[in-house]
Amino acid sequence: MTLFRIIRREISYSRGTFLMGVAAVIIAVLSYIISLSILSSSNASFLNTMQSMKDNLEQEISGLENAIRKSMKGLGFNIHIYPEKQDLAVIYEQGYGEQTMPESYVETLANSKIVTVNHLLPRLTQMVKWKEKDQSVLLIGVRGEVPIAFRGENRKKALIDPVKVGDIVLGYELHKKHGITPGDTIRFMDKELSVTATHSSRGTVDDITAWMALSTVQELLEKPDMINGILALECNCESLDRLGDIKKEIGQILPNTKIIEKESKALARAEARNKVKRTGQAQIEDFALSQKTLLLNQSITATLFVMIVSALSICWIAYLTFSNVAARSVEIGILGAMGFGGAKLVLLIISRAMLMGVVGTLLALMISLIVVPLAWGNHIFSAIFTNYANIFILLFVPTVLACSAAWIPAIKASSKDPAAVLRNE
Amino acid sequence: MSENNSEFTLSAQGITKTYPTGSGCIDVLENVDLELSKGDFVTISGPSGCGKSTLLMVLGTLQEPDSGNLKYGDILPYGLSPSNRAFFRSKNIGFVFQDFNLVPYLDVKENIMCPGIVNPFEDLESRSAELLEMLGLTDRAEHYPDQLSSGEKQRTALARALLLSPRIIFADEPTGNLDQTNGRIVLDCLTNYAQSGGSVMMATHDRDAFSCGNKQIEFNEGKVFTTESE
Repeated sequence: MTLFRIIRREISYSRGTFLMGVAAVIIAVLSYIISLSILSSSNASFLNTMQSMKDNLEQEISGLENAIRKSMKGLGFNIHIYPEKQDLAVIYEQGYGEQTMPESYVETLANSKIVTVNHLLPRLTQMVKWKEKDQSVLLIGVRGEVPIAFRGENRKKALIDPVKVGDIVLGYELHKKHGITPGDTIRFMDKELSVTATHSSRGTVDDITAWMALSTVQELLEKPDMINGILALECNCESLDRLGDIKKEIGQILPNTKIIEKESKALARAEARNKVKRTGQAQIEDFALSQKTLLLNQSITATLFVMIVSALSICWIAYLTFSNVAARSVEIGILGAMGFGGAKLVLLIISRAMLMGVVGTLLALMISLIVVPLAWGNHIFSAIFTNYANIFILLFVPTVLACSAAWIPAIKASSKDPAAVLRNE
Repeated sequence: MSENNSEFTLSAQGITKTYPTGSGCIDVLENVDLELSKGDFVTISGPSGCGKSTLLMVLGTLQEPDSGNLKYGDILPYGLSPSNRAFFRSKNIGFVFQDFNLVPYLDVKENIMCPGIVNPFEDLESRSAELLEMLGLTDRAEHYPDQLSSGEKQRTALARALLLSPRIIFADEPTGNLDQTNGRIVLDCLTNYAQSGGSVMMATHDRDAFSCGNKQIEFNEGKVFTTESE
């Protein structure tokens, strides 16, 4: 004869109230598992959507990059090569640099096996005073295109025709203002030159520009064999970091230079791509933030729901235990008369509640074993039941709460005077 | 019988118990002096509400008196902690009530063996079988209380009280709900227990039962009126 036998017999005798207690535990445990499932499912769905959005953006960006690469390949782009010591602020301010480099640099480039550049145009530029006409002129000395030697006959057709020695080409403002027409001979800084062409209005600094042979300008500016820039046209590079690639290649050939890219459509498209990427990422971040807020609200609601259900279950178990103890007052009295001490009586009553917790938890777990995979999928089931914290909570908390619900009735029953109970009887 | 039974003497001196009621206090026991030795079968008689049951509860260590001393040999049970007093009670005292007070969800055998949970011993099974045999309950061993007659219930309660061979059995109207035959069985059993070295104190209205005691006490209004010893 053991205490457990008494507990087992009593449960079997009053199984109605016991099963009601078990039902309360099942409801509390299931409410917790279902809340966890809903939250896990929402979280998984959020992560999937996030991943899908990221993948789509990546795909979109990747497509855009390919398109830009192709368009860049078709468009080409232009770069300026300047002496290394040239302050770029001066370039951006006045359109040309004051530092010079040897004209031989362009030969070095042309004689290299450069693949990223198609056309090389050395130039010497400086703002000067056309003293004969009291006119400011942007003087540009050009040599014409320097052919890239290794390409032989396969090189691209020249983009610009050279200005011959003794010739001059004038911008719109220069020829219009002074009534000069092609075929005229003019005097420019003490030099007789033949006007071979005049340009129509461009609305840029070109309108006050005069183009001459490079050697003539070097002579006029007293900078023999010097240039202050090389314009490289139709640069082709398929990579996204095309300027980096070109810099790398030119840097290996001409180490004492610096390179900048002129504004181009390709550059604008690359900017557009970056903007699309930034916008897409911002949208994903906004979505993530809104979803996290939503998940937090869901989590708070679920926690409140579980707490309310658990509190009701605890109250229900406490009520059932009070009723059970009241119905067993004579039995508790006679056990007390037989020498059952307070601890044994508490154990007798608490054990019943503990079994409610254990049986209720096991049944709830068995139910969730079927319901959770069916309703939310195996991945959610695995996510819940491979989490140690969840396992701990599910295995111990319901039983501990059921025992604590029965604690007060048990203490009250055990401290009751058996004589008072038996006398009332 | 429990150990040291040869030295057993129950001594109550100046026991007083008062119950508070809405209209004041009722003195249920007033300066009760009693002495009980090994082999005594004390019967107490008196009108209903005179304090017989309260006296048994107080002497049975279930209800502390307001004043007075109770001694079991050298032990003052009301000087013990509640848990130690419960253990003392389990070893030394047995109870039989008019209403049987069997545990409804245990069968006859389990009811009898119930005190063995507090004081387990090796021969629990054989001792319970012996008591079942002695009280004619062997064929009822696996029956539940609601399947028993009043006589069988009281015999079960008596067997339960005898299981640990306590120093003293307190019986409160044990024959009150029984027919003559069953009443006789219970009285014979209690008499035999006292003759075999135990002690019995029984409260009863039944004059035949009252005459079974070797000490007979007339009790009224919480006081001992007459004491007769054979």
